[in-house]
Amino acid sequence: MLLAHALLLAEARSYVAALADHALTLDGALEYERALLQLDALHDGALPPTIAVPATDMELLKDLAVTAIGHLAYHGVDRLDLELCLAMLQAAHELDTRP
Amino acid sequence: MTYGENAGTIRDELTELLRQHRVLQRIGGPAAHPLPNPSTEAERAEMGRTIDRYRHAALTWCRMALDAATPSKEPPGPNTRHRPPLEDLRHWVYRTLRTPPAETRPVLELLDLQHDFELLSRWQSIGRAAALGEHDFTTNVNLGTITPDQALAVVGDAADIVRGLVVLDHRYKNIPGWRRLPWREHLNSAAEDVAGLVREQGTDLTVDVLGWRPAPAAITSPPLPGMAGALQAQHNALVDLARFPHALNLRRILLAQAKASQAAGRLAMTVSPELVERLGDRANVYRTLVSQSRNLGGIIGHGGVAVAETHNATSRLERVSAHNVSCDQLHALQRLFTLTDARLATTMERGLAEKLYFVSEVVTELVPDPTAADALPDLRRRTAWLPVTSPTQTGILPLLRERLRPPPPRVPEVPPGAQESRLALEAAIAHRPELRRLGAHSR
Repeated sequence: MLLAHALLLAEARSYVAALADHALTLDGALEYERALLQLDALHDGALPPTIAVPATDMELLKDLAVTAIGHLAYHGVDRLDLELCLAMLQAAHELDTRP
Repeated sequence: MTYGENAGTIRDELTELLRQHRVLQRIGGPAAHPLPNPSTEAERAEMGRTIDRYRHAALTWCRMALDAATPSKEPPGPNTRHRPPLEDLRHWVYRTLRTPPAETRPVLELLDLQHDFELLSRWQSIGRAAALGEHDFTTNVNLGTITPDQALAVVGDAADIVRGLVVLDHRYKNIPGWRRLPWREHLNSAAEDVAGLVREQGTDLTVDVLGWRPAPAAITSPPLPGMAGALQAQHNALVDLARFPHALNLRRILLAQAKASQAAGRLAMTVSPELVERLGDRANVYRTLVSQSRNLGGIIGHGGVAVAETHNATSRLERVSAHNVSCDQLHALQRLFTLTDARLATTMERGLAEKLYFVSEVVTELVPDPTAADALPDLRRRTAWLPVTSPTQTGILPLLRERLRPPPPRVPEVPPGAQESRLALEAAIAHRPELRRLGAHSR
């Protein structure tokens, strides 16, 4: 894994982790964690550490996470796997914000 | 089977045999009235040899019981006049067993025979329990596990069984070709001394709950419908957790356990409200564990089956309707959850202690500038995999130790009937006139 890939992965992981931390419901938090696990599985468990993200706005965090995950395709990660990961993220967001 | 069940079977069958007189008639021998199932003398001699083989198995069990409860693991020393009672009994049991039984076939070949006479069936039960009971002594009925009082109970059982065998040896002497026990007077005297000693000191009968148990196995049948399927999957996950999972699978298991608890908690709201709080608490603990283990890595291990089965349990719990779930099923699931917690806590503690799991951390270090010796070192940050036992700690360990700690072991209780079984054998031995004659003879 090259440095740029590692930095981008760390960024994506941190945003998804922040989403899980600030989730409104337990079900939503667990679904975000599932998306994070999927992201880690795509990299065979070779993971850079997450860092604290100061933002708490869920919409902003979600957009940042989606962008970071999407950009992982430029580093050789399979696009279909990334789309599945993004779908999990979307499902988690919908579950968490369901009235 | 526990030690209590095996030793209890030997005691109960021996008690029943001690109550039976006119032994020849009981194996089809000559009687005042014609018997429905008579036997020839040669057949009676053959039956005598079979009984002898069962008796040899029972004596071997006694020898193993005495070895398991004796500090010395060496065979008893040469004949001396000042042996302690327990050593004396071991000595005479060892000497008796040196004489091979008349029946040379292994006892295992005799355990599935169909006997025509009740007397032989009882001896067969003794042989079967003795063969099964041998596992108990190598598992946990030995001085490495049991207390001195429990060891006394084991010694007392062996001594009483030896006494019963000596009484029956005398009673069976008219069976054609019957092989008398060599050293029977010494054997009886030593066993009586030990039995008296045990009675004086008192014993702890909780040893009866110990013993060998087969390792739990996965339920490989097709998925059961409804809640039974969820229980099946959770059981299979627990069984597979005996294999060490690698870090990624461990995180998957933790996540699935959180979801399973959450789903079970929803069912409990309708079926068993007293479990709602515990299940909700468990879901929160696992959620925290999942978030604390985000940076956990480690490639050694398996855990694929446990992951799949935990997911099965979760999806079945989410699908099942609360109307089709009973309170007992939910409590059974809660017990499986408790066992799973204990197993996961042990597994994770092991992984962290043996450095099979690592934490990915950003570390800051000072790097000296090689071009200028007197320059201040550079401050650099880099990602490193660190063992959890290093100063870099995660919140995992406190959670494991405080929230997933295995439940304290239950104080063992004496199984019902344990005392009665021993008293019945004691009474059966004490009421035998042959014993009194033997005792008088040996003194």
